[in-house]
Amino acid sequence: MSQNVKKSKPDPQRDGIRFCVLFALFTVLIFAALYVAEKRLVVPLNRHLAWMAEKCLWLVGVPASSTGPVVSMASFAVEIKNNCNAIYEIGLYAAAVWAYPASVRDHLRGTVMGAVVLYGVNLLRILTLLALGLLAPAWFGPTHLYAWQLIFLLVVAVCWLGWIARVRPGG
Amino acid sequence: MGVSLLWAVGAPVYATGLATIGRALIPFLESAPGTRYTVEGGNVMAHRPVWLPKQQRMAPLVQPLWSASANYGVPLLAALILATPGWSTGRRWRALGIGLGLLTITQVAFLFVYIVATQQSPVMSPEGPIQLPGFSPVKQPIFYWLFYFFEITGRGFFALLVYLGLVALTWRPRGPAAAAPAGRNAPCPCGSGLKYKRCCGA
Repeated sequence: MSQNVKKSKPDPQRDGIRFCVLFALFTVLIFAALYVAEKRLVVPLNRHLAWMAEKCLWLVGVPASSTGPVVSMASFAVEIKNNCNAIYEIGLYAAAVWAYPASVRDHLRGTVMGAVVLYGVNLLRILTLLALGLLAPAWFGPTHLYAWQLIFLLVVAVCWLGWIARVRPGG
Repeated sequence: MGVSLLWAVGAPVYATGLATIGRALIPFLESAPGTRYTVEGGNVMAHRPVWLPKQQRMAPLVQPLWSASANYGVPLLAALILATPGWSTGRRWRALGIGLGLLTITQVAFLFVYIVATQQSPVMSPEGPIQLPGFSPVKQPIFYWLFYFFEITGRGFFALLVYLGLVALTWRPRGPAAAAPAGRNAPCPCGSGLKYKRCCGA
């Protein structure tokens, strides 16, 4: 009886180190899987995002077209490349979720909800970058390369913190 | 925002530190004799002399190795630590020190990978693509993969690994496990090793 109580006592340092090791391992495995499945998964996702961006632009009354991974407007076009489609960030987030101790149901729920949020944020990123490219082309580069990359990783961290706030032991 | 501005000011100093480490690694990693590393703004550049066989002469080749503007891990980590709610000032500073120290180790690894990876790909010269002296058919696929990993996932991954690791290490369970002990000077039940009044009871 007393042994059971000892075993269930939380040890933040042991759990924290276990989390770091699993997070690193899962990240490398997910990255390797995406690297191998680039043509089957990553490239079709780029085309899908271009198509979605085109439909969103039509919804707000902006004429646009998409060909493969390229979205074109009157005087501006962008190509959605492999690291612009959120799949690697979703992979990072999923690695962090699955590395943290929780039930399979919580892991699945956290992964799906985070992936949906990150997909939505990425679509917003593409749309804002398209708008910037059309209205303020000088801001396109810095916003694309620095601002959105930072914001996106902050969103990953916030999603994960939000998820563990729900599933943490004793919560 | 403030952290980004601080980074813009401090990045050249940080890049100089990395370039100094890079220079120390030259004998182990660099295969082009006479290579030197310089810092230009927040960028570490390799100046590699390459042999042009048709012209029968050496020509300087400048290759970017590390760029502060593209490596936003440091400001990202600092911003996350400073914005984390519920941490005392002392814990925040400790986390900042430990976190940035660990992240700097990953930046050195970044530089290590770039020094080797940039020797594995052909470079353009007036005579067309040429291979640098450090090329190895064994190293090439390994360092190409590592380069790709660092380029696409690494920048955010290492900052998040350090930050989420710090959060996981200091996460305090709620409920009975974190209940107050008999005295405020007793060890904290969360297992941090600190007194309760300096930890969960603060």
